[in-house]
Amino acid sequence: MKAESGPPIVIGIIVLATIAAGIWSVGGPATGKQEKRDKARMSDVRNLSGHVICLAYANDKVLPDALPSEQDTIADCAPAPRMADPFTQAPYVYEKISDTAYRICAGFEHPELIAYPKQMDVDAGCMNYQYKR
Amino acid sequence: MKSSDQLASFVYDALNAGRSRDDISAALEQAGWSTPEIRDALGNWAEGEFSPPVPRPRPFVSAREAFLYGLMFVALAMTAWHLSTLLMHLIDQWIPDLDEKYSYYSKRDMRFSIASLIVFFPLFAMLNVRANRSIKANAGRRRSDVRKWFGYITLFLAAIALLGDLIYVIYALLNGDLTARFIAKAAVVAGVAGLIFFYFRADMTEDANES
Repeated sequence: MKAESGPPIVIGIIVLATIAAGIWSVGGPATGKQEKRDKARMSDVRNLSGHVICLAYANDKVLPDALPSEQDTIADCAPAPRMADPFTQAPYVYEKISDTAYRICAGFEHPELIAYPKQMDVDAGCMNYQYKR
Repeated sequence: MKSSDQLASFVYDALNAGRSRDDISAALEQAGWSTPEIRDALGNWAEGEFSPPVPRPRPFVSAREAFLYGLMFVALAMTAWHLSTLLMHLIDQWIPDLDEKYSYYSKRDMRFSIASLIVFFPLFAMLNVRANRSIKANAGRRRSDVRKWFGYITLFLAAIALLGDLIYVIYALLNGDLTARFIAKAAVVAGVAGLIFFYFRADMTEDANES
């Protein structure tokens, strides 16, 4: 068989090169762990956003200037969601931008990979939200 | 009794009775059998004076072969599929498109493809080397029906992939979607399917020449 060794070697090189490029691109297990942590942070940020809406609703539909601490939160919105990063203990940051906009920031390790690119401020690691009264 | 069985037993009886091959062919031709059928029927018995007629080795289907070639076929299909998927994700990254954003979902896909390639490509390579070695050692293996069928199914699927790819390129061209990213992806499909197609065609053509 003349075609015996040529193509298989070529295919082998292509497959190995592709696997290498793939691993180089997605990163190893450590990157996977970072993504898992980011996912948990993103889930916390979304819960916090819901909490902010709840607080605003209880406050005559006006966005709060700052979040009350977990103990001081008003009864309608209790229990308050997690307010700090479970991995670094750094508190999440809530900022009121205007009467209809706010943002919540967290220490994302790969903010560029978060699945909400339109709301995500990649440089600051903040999710921008609109509040419609 | 199937007509092919009738033909086989007639040829056996006639050879056993000492009739010449030319006589037998003439009689069969007169009865309406086609030339390839006659050639096949006579080809089943070795030429020579030995009586009773000596059968030639025939294609055989063995469970072991079905297992090996089936596994090899699946390994090749998985390798081709995941190689294409992984390359397409890499292209998405290397050729950015403003419409679509790269996210961690595609990372998960890529990891799955990498894992599949790590498992299936060495398996395919190993089985392919093994199959080639056993064909070399035993020419009868070449006549294996299992091998032929898997070879032609592979050829068929590769041909379908190539044709589908071509249709899609023409469609994208007419639709104005022929971006650099699209061309690169179409080239990946053509490359993977083309490589498989030409490799197996060379393999199958050698079989056809030999028999």
